Amino acid sequence: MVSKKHLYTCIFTLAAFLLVLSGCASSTSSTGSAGGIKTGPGVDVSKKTITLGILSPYSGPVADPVGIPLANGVKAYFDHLNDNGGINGFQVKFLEEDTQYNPQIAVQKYNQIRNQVLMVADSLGTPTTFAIKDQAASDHMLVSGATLSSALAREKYLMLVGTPYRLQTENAFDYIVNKLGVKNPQTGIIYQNDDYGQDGLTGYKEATEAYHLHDVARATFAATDTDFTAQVSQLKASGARYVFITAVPGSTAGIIATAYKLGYNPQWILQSPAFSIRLLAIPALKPLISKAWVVSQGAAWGDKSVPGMAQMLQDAAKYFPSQKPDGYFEFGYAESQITAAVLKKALDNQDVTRDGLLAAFESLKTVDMGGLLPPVTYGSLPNDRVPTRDSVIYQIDAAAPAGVRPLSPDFTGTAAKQSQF
Amino acid sequence: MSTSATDKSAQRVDISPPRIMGSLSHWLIVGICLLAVIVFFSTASEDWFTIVNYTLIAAIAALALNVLSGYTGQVSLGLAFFMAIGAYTAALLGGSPPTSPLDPQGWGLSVFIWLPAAGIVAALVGALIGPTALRLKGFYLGIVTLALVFIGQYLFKNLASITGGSQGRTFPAPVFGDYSFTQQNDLLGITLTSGQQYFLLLLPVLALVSLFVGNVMRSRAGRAFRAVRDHEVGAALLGVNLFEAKLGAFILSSFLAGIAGALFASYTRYVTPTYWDLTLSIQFVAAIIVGGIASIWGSILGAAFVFGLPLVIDHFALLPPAGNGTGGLTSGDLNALIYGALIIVFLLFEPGGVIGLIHRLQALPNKFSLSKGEGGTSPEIINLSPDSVSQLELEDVAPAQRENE
Amino acid sequence: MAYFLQLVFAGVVQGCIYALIGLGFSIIFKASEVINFAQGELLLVGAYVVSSGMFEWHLPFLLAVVLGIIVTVVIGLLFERLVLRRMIGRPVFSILMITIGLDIVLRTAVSVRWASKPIPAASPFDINSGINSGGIHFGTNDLWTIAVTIIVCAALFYFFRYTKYGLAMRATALDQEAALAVGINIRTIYALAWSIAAGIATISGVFLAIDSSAITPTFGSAALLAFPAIILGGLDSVSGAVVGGLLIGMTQILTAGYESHVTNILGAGFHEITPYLIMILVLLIRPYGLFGTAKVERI
Repeated sequence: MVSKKHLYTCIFTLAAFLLVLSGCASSTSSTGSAGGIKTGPGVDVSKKTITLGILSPYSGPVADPVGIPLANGVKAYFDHLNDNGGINGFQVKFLEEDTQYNPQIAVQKYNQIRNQVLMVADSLGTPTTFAIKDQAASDHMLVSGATLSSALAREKYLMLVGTPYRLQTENAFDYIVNKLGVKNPQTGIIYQNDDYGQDGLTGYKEATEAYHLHDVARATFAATDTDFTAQVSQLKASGARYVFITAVPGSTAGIIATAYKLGYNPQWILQSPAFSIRLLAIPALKPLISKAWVVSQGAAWGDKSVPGMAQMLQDAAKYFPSQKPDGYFEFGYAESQITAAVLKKALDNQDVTRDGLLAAFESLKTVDMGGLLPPVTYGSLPNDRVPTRDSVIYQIDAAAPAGVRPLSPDFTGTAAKQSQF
Repeated sequence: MSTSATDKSAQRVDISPPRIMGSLSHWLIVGICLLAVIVFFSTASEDWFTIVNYTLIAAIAALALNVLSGYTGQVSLGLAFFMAIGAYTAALLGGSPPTSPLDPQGWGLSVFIWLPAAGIVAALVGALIGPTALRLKGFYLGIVTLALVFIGQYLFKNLASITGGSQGRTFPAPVFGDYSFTQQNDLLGITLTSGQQYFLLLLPVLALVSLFVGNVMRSRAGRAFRAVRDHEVGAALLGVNLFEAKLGAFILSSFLAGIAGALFASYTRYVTPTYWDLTLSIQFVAAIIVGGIASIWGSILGAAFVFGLPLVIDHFALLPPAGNGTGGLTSGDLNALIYGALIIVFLLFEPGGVIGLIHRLQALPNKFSLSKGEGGTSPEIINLSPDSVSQLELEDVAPAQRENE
Repeated sequence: MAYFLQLVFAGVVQGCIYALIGLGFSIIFKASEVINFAQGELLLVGAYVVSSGMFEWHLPFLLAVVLGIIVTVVIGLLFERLVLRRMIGRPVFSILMITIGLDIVLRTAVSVRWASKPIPAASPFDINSGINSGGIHFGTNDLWTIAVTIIVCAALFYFFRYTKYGLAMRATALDQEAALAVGINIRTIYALAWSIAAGIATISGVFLAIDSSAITPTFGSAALLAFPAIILGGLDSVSGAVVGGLLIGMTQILTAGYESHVTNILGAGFHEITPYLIMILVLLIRPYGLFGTAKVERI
């Protein structure tokens, strides 16, 4: 009898706990209308606030090069808007959650915020965005995906921003073949053995076909590898003159340093996350890396000829003074203008429900971002939902504010133009 | 009516099956529990369902690990591998047929096929690997299971037609006719959210698994498992077939891990191969240590601690998510810190886990068991090696008969 | 041919690093039967402290290394005294898990203090300094890695064979109770074992860091491959750790260098698992490793 009592005490405690849990259940917010404007979750008409979600890695290897600066850029733009009256008088607030680049955690965080936000203003990462897309569709929740997977172009509620990695790689080789006029170059790629690296590889394969590249070497490494002698030796032995690197900054350092050690000096082209301005702070690495290129997007940091640049610099200094010049910050800042455009349109239509946002997005047409990114146009077909296919080739330059100096104008290569989604 | 062993005779073990429904107070308590579950079900928000559902799935996996490591004493860091096998089996059998040549395979079969099949295929893989792996002991076995995880990741990254390669793939959700668990459905006039539907599936599955494992552990096989764990040589002397016992535990553990893996993947919808990594395995080892080794409730509580607690902490947003780039505690760091510290604290002070803690708090003059029939011994400190057990000094003893060595 | 030899050289260097890590393991295991899963993170902490020493606090290289060694030794001693002391007599599984707990705590601590951005590795050499001969580059840091490994092995050999404490440690490893009976202070022996292991961890961390020019918090996972190395060699064999390390290092790098030829059959990333496959192969033939001793127990 004694043992039974204790068994049931356990169950009872558990039951009590569950009761407490359900007592803490947050109420499902519902749509309503107030003063002629239809509102959805996350909109508070009395306080005039709209709450948006950010699902990004704030810890882990992706956080520092991409996740954190991008989120900061998003916030900086809206801080600026808020200080200048908001959108139609509404202030925009954020609920930020750390997904740790883990799809299971992303699902949990999404479910945590889904009833408190009107849309997700930044969902970073392919696996994490994939994990939440079905639930988002079921919730009619618009998601601005900082993810570069082609399959997502077919999702109705996914607002894609940014040029996919695949197209980045293709544009890089377009630059070499078409702009620099190198016919049939000997090329290689060294990529990380995970989903990010796979994207770069796919682009490389497409570029090989489209531009008749002489593909001589493909080397792969694990994210935790510390020695790159084998991979670099392979590249060196193959004689590749142009080598694409799809890695994160820590590995980039090792690769380039090892190559220098072995006396191998091809033209390195870095995928945008492979570069970080912190690499220039490594004294031994600085001279080596300054000959490499980065393919990315957006106006050069500090380029005053770009109309929107001055404002962005001001906002960065005001709201994130410790933020170093960073391409992803600029990217987040610029693409938030798309989110803001969607919100404005919905507010103008007096309909800030989730469905109202979708309607606004689908009728958005062209958004101008003050030259920070070229204007984007959205449509409803999958091929139109990839808003940008353009890239800029930068030279790494310690003297430039963000560590990179543009070599090419913003352009879309032929392969990128024709790539199917 | 009490039918348990009397307090005084701790030596006499009552092996009659436990009576679940005894007096009125029992019915009352069960009723309250049922009521609590119903109240939770109807009022909790979706994110609480997420927390609870993940905990339920993790509990199944923790039970799987407890079968192998807790009850049978075989060190294993390879749980993630078997979970992955189950998940990809489920994906292959239940996933939607590919719409383009790059999509991974899927045969669109029903959940009644892919869920059990996930377990069965994982068990078969366990049966294949077991005989070789189980020849090793202790740390050697642990590292070989660790190797399994890495070999598994390599295989999964390359078998793209099944796993989607490094980019990952979507996993099937249970579908019953027109009703898919991925969306809200109406059942008998009530609208059920996705989380609620999964809950309705997971709770019975966990209950079934717990009852099953509990039964196995009360049976001869279970006693054999524990004998292997406590003193292999002694067990062999008593006539326990060591090889069969270890292999049986390995297969059962793999079966349950496969099911848990399939459910994990199904609930998360999209998973890349890097998900099934060493960290996942270690989290489950932490779960059974924190919860209580060789204990059903221990597995469930341990899963709640290691998987549920971080989610709960995040829910109450005790920390801002953002590090400011120059260091500082992010929520991800805090989670890791919590369960790292929990492991150390529990191993230091309460090796019996939370269950052991509960028992100690309810300290009574008499020994008791969690439920009748589980050997009747108090699960205080569980020794996993023969060294800590008092030695039997036997003279002129023949070398131990070791099976299949 | 030069290609092959370059890879062999790199394999030997990498193997030396694994050997050093494995040595740290072996010493702790032999002295106290504890498997220190946290050796990789001790390496990580050591590397980070040395790097900070050189770049944040502007110490000369050797002083930074000494600082790194001091910090890791202190961590090792504290852990041994506060945590492991209470775990004496516990089963192997529990002790393994508690070192895993330490591993997690250390890694998180590093991530909190230094964030996830890459920081430069401390190195007294230029990147490309070295000898070039026959088409192979023998980097200065690589040569130093091999030299230091040999020195450490020789020092340990001398220590175990000819010094009082070394003898005491061997005695403890052989039979703890007997050692206690002859008056050996087991506590000192444990502390010594952990100190030596921590110091070696920092040294191996420094060389590993120089090899990759920049370090991030996931750096410690590279040490995971030291496990197959010591298992291969035999858990309780010091020479086994060295042989195992060299074998694993060469396997990894040689496979990485030639795997592109077999990508069609084997896919990508085969070199990440060849060390484990070799380990499994060896264990099938010799379940206690190449030089390990089978456990014989009285019942």
